Amino acid sequence: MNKAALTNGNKSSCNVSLHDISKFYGDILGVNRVSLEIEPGIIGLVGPNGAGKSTLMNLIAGLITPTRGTLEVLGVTPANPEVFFRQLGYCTQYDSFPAGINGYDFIFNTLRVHGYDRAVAGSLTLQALEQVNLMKAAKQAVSAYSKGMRQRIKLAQAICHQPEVLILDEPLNGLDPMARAQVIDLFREFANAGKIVLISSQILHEVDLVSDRVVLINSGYLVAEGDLSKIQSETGEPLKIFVRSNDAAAIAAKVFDLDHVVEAQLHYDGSGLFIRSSDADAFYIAFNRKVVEEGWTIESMGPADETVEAVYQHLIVEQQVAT
Amino acid sequence: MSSADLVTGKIHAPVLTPGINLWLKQLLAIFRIEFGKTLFSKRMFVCYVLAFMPVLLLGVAAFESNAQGEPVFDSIEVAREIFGQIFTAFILGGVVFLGSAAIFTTLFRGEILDRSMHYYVLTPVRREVLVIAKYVAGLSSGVILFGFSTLACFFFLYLPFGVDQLVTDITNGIALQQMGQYLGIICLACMGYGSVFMATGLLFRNPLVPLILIAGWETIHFILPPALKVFSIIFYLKGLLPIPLDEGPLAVIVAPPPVWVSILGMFGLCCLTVMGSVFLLNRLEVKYTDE
Repeated sequence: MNKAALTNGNKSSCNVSLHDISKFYGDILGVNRVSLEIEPGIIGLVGPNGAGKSTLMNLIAGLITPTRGTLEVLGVTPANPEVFFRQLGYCTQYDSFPAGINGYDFIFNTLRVHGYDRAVAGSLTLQALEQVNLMKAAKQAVSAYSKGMRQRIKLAQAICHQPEVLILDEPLNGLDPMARAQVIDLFREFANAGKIVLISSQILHEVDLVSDRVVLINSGYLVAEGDLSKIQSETGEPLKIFVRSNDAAAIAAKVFDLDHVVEAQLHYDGSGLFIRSSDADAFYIAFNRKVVEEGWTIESMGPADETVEAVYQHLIVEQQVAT
Repeated sequence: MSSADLVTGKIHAPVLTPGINLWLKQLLAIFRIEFGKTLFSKRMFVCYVLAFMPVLLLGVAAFESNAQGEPVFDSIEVAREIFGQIFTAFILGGVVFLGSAAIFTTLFRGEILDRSMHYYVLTPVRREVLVIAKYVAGLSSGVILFGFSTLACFFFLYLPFGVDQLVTDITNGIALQQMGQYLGIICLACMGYGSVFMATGLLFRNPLVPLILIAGWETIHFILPPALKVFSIIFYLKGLLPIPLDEGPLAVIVAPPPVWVSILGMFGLCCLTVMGSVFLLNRLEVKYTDE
């Protein structure tokens, strides 16, 4: 990371910052007036097909230039490629490779173009190949790789120079469950090391599994961003809470005494209860008080729909249906 | 080795400081990749065929002479003059022109068509370094291929006159001087045409139309008025030929430019168009959807 910037305490120099970014392809809208501040961690970029996810990623990665607005990655713009691309790794959606190249040379050549000496480039190549579990296939032609292997070699190419910002366009496509788990672990390690990992995916439960925060985009517009609970509270959509208790029936009878409760539904086994509340924080406080008053025994309690899928359903699917 | 060890960096990528040393390293790395790609790719097959054609022509003439027992050409002076014509019309105007088009238009356009351009664009390399490295790789390939082709043609030119004639001409310097001039012209032609075609490949999605226009312009240059002749590459290259050529009855005769003007003109053109390519590459957006 840019240490000088860190010591200066400049927040934007540690983040990916987009200021009022728009991109038009002629008359066609790519993204419009997107302003974002992406901090270290794993960020899921979610939206339907054609929402502008890849456009946004290509903009951040400097592959395309914005029609309007500015962007900075760790305080640097794409106009300074020598610094900009050293701190950024991008695993694109393009499934194409230089003709006739093998896995090892694909990574090694990239590192040589970065400017690393032969020995360092060799070590970093092996390290990247090991990270994506492709050591055995290193000398095979990439054209002979399976879809999952090609996905992993692209990932190795994106991480081989140890970037601070990793942008991954549908990185889990084509991976088997084992490879998927390994790759997700790798993303988590990157995030734990204080790096930014921006992932786009159509597989919502996987985004849910790995992301610390989400960015929702639809028809080129930023719909919501932040952690899920914040987005849900901002949307005003009643939060669904699951309470596991042997007193579920008694709770169901009295829970409507509490403000903000709009719905209560017993679980089929009779030992649980789904409660919908329009204000989660107020509900938790009032419900705790009620539990003490009534002497109920609560085994566990927590949000039942704090998922990307629920937010996606509410903010994108329902809006599309409404319009 | 655990995943955590690797990510936190058991092997740390050293910090590279931008500057002339780094640019040279990057330039050499790109040159090495591109030189191999340019000289040994399937796309180069057409260049090998083009380079082989004049060799085949003069080779057949040489073996025909041997079969007949006497040279096809009356004397070595006549042979040299005819070679001058072949060199200008066929090697320079055909082989080098089309070969350079095949090599240089694909330097960037080929990557875009293969959808592999983003791998270069995503590396921390100044666009100037990328353009120069690719250009030098293309130039080296062109000069090697067409230079060897010209050398082989020269060898076959002398073959019917025997080794004694070749040794005599080498000893008195005429063969070496002419060979050097032809190779120099090949080098300048690859430089000039190459830089123009590289920019064409970046500027146009389909470089075929501009290529035909340039070919047309270069072909009719000899009938153009002097004010327009100066805008053709072949005009400067012809001024460097060891043997003056008769361009026919329709030609508008002008004095050839001085040697230094021809050489500096090619270098100037090369610098301008390479700078233009840098400008175009800086504005390039990698999205492939239009290709």
